[in-house]
Amino acid sequence: MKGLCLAILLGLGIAGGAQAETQLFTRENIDGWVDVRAATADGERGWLDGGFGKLRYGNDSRLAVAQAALVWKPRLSDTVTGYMVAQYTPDALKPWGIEEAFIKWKPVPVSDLKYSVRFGQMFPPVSMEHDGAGWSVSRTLTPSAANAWIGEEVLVDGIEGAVQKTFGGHVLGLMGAVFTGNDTSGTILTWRGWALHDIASNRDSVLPLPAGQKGWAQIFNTGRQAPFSDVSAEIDGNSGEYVRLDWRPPAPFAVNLEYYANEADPEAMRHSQWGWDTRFWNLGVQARPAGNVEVLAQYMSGTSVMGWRRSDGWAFDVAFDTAYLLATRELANGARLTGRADYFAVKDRSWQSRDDNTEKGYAATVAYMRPLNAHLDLAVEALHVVSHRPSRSYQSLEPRQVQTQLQVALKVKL
Amino acid sequence: MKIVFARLLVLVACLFAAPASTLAADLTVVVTDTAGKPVPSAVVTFAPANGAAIAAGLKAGAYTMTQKLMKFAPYVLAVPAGATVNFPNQDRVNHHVYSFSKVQPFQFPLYGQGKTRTMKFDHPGTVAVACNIHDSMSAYIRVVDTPYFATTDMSGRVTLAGVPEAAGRLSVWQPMMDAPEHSVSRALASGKSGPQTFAIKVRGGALPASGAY
Repeated sequence: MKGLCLAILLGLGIAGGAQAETQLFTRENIDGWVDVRAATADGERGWLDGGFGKLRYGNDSRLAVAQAALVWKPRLSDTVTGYMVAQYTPDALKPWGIEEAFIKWKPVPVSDLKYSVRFGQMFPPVSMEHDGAGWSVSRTLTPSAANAWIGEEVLVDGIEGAVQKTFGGHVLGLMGAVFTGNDTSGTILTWRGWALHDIASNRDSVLPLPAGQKGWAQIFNTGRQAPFSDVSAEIDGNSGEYVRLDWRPPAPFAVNLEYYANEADPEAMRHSQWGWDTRFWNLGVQARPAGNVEVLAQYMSGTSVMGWRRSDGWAFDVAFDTAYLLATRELANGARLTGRADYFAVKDRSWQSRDDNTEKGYAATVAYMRPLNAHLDLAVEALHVVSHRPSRSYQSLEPRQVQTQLQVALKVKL
Repeated sequence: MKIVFARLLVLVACLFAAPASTLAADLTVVVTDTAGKPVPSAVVTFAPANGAAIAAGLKAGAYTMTQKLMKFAPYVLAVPAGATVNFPNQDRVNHHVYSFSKVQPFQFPLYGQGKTRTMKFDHPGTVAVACNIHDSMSAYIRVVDTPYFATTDMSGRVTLAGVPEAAGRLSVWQPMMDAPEHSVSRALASGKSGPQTFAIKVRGGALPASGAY
């Protein structure tokens, strides 16, 4: 689908070249940045290094590029646009890749019924934090556990339609999509657990599973899972779907509710990747109690099953939920101060004696962000996380771990 | 000489005999919310009961709604029916300005910095203006059929200059007013020109849409 999407994108671009409305490579079509990060974190080994660490960094200090990104937003006609984010994240297993690539048709409304269609590779619109350019967060450096997971394991190839209508000052929105290519969603959430970090997946991303021979790794007799999860794998040919409702009353708050199901066959396995039948609900609330204060909250609850049927259920069967409450205050000169509290949990409903994926944790984040000039943003963030996960004992760790991470970021923008 | 004197007499008599309604005065109007806080962006109009023509000079005035810093400025623009409005784009990015309002639907396909478009508004009513690229941009053009109009600033206060002291209707329209057609009005008796106050119920607008729609 990605290839098709790119072909259409380029094809439309060439075909539309003769039209006055087409703009492919003007300044307006290009965004980009390099995010240089000084970071230090105590505690356990990070998940990127095969550990159970909950953060991007763990037991190390670094001064490095955290992300370089190029966003291309070609305008193919008055009402058709393309969107593509290419990124480089050096600490990911596959540092280079295409994060989102889609085409959007948004006709000019002729009544208060507005509609649009998106087609391509995209993150379903679950996160309320990722409203910056190129699916970046704009209030903190690190997204919540909920939205970090969306960025890791919920990247789809799909077609999405949206309609919106106003009824007496109340704006109601309905969105629906069918998609393929997200059958492994739930793998990392089950075997590693929740995490708070800002590495979003690309089309070709693979995510490392916790290292070692115990836990998940000792379950398989045949059909062994690879030591990594292939984010975009399509394993069974089934399409998944998501549906979202939006309500924006004539008051300073808005509510959204979304349901996602990848409809993966939990017994299907291909190239050492299993299908995980993952489904979740997400409730989001946004409020502006004062002109310069914004509050965001999300609650997500879902389940994921995988493997073969046993007498007492599926080989792997988890229920997960997470919530956060974020408040941000806009200060003078475009600066902002943000605080967020996260709760996250996984309940393992299967075969705990061999592979216990239960966990519970809390995190607190404080961030200060300030634009220094039009091309330079400064951000400082402190993140503290406490979590309990019995499977850490498979790596000879204490189940309860505490971690604090400090980051200073300089984002150089085009 | 006698004839000239007689003409002068007639002229003076005419002046004095002129009905009170043709005398003009300034009319001050204060618009607040129900808590007494000034309400900006309210269009105040006075329509004399016996009508008032909109002078050609007023229609030919310079009316402008600018796109600047990803917003329309002003947020509310009042114009007399028959006026032409300029829509210059001062932003670095293109905008696609449109309205589906029944009063005057229109669209200006993409245009960039330094360019402008114009539109003549002949029919009284409200024209909601938006940008199809930037969902958070919205504004209103209130087309009025009287020469006596003004829009409140942050002080919630306007002065309608040269209003005839005739009977008529004083109206206030504000896009977020919680009232039928977002408007309230009251009859003014002839000769009443003291300050007028309106306490209106204003509700918050919906939060801007996420980019998803």
